[in-house]
Amino acid sequence: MTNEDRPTVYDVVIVGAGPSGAVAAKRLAEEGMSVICLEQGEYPDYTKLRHSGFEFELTKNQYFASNPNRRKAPSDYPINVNSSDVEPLMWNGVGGSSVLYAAAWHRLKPSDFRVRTVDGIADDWPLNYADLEPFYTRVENDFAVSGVGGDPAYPPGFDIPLPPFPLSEMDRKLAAAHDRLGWHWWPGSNSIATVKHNGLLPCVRRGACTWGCFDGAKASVDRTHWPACIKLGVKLVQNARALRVETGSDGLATGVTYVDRVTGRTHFQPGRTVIVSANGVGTPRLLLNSASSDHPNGLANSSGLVGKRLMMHPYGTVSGLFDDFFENWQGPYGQRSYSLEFAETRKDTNFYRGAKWQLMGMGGPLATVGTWPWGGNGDVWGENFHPTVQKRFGRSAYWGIMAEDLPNEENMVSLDPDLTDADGMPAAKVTYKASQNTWDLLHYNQERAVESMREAGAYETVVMPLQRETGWHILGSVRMGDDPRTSVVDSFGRSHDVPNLFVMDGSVMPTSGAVNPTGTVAALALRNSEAIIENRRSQPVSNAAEALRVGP
Amino acid sequence: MYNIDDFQTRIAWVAETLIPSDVKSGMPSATEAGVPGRLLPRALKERDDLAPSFFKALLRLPETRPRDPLDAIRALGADDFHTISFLIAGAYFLDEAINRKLRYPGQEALYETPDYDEIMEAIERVQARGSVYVDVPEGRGSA
Ligand SMILES: Cc1cc2nc3c(=O)[nH]c(=O)nc-3n(C[C@H](O)[C@H](O)[C@H](O)COP(=O)(O)OP(=O)(O)OC[C@H]3O[C@@H](n4cnc5c(N)ncnc54)[C@H](O)[C@@H]3O)c2cc1C
Ligand code: SF4
Repeated sequence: MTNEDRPTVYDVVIVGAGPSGAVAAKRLAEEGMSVICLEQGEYPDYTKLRHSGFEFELTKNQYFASNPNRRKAPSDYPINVNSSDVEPLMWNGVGGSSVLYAAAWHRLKPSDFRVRTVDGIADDWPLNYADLEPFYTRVENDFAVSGVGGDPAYPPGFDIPLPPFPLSEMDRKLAAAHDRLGWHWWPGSNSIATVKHNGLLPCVRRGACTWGCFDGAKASVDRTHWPACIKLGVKLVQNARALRVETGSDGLATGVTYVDRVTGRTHFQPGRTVIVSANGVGTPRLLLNSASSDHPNGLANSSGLVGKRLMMHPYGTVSGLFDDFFENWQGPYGQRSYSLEFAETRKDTNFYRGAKWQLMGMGGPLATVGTWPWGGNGDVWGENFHPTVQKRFGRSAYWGIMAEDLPNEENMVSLDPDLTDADGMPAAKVTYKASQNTWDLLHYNQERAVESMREAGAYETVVMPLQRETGWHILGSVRMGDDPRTSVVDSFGRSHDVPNLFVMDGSVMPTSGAVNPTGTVAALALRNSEAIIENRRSQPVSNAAEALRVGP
Repeated sequence: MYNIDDFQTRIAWVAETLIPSDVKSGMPSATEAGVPGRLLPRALKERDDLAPSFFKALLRLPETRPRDPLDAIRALGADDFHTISFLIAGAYFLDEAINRKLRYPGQEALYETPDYDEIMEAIERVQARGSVYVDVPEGRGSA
């Protein structure tokens, strides 16, 4: 092999260009490390979104649908969900799922890191709120978080860098109701710029957030991080689907084998350190597919926990119908406001942990005869059509109830024995059942949310217990911990088995909390990256990767 | 390739069945609003991905209005019913006059700035009720 044929050995090979991969790529490149990122998709084409005309509602789910099994884009891989109560949702391209996320932004609470200590169930994290706090603060700036600081649902210090959105009539109604009920309520915190910041423009509130933000205000990392990464010299390879993380005879990772989806050719990309940031389904899929004679059960899997303990924040809704007409269709689609009143374990209930409630936009007229958040829509046609539209459009609001999910080894991601993606890589199979604790938790919170809506003036409420296509948050399937027997990676995302292999996405979370996870995912990726930088001189590197090294 | 002109008789009764007129709200039916001739071709162009299944589903319906038209459309099954009803309603709501009647201006660009006085007053009331998180002993737990 001549030097020209040899691939460059990078300091770091990252799989996945979503928030976790992007945060790591940027920070490591800032310190002068050479970084290459393999991403199975491309940059999103925002021109495919009809964000401003009356066509918006009709077309929004065409290219920017969040369920990969429906979207079936070339970069997607199939996920067998036959044995799952909840379907995982994601975007497979540069920016990852932040291209579609609603951008509701949260930190975990201190108790979320200490579930075993506080409640005697599940597990504690190998780090705590104080450990993560400085990293939360830094990523909140990078992700242009807007809102209001001083929320008493958090310890002091959760200061939000950008100003909030104006309160809407919907917020006012629910805030007043919670004042009367004595319950917590807070203006929404979102990773959406309200003023020009970090390459983002101020949000114009068209509400396309979960179908791609054409107006350039939402902090998706294709906008907030990748331009900076490219300037820093990070090589981003699009259409590169990682098939396996390879290891040498010394047991260390040597790099990643990937298929170029355009040419169909397979390549090996060597690297001194490998980071997998492919999300809670994609990461265990890749590690399990990296099985070899040395790692027959998949890479980094001596604990047997790769893929297990999947958590997806089961989600229900409570909608309220009101007599008066108010704007309920504009953005931000994410959260206008939220309540953490019922987010901790309570003494008066039969379940552990709690839920976050988020007050959401309802969409335009077409949404009033759709299924979300109304459940079935079989009976809205014919003579019911107009009364339904009149009742719901501009006269409704809903609480999304996000349940803290507890880990259970039977909820898992595995490789499907039969199904493959277009490149022949085994598809992911998701096995997931909501627990009795989840059902009780949702039931209790929905009853309280009905009270909240009634107090706000709703004359009727519609409760949807657990919605299936709500797997936005894919967590826990490569858990972190101090003990290699009961965890896959350590508190810095480093594999116990393969010390130059890191996992940096929500799959490392030992418990899920009840809030949207990207703040935590990004803060963990930043913390892990700082640890890589600090330890770079002592980082073990595979001899095989070193042998391939080209140049100095 | 399907030609919408070959389906007009079916489209007329299907659209009218799904969206009849409503005296109380003064809303027109799908036909009165121009779904078959004007709006549906636009909707099908926007959603060319759904057009083939729309026409295929229509072909499974009788040419002329059956006795229980809504039941006949429902009998197509959930997927086909969804495709047809979504496109007919989607076409209906493309119309400006319909949206004006509903007081829906579309997803507008808004440039309002927040009223800080109002926000501060609202959050001070919440803060006055005290913290709602559980304070836990720091230090490393068992992992
Ligand atoms: C519709 C929707 C709404 C959401 N709303 C919110 C919200 O309001 N707030 C919030 O906090 N979170 C929200 N989320 C979740 C949020 O998007 C994720 O937490 C976040 O994107 C996780 O970042 P990540 O980098 O870990 O994974 P991802 O963003 O999923 O990125 C993983 C990347 O890896 C790539 N990849 C996977 N496998 C391979 C492979 N084999 N080879 C190459 N590339 C690969 C994928 O293509 C993808 O680009 C939402 C998600 C969705 C889908
Ligand atoms: S509401 Fe704001 S963040 Fe959402 S899509 Fe519109 S401009 Fe983007």
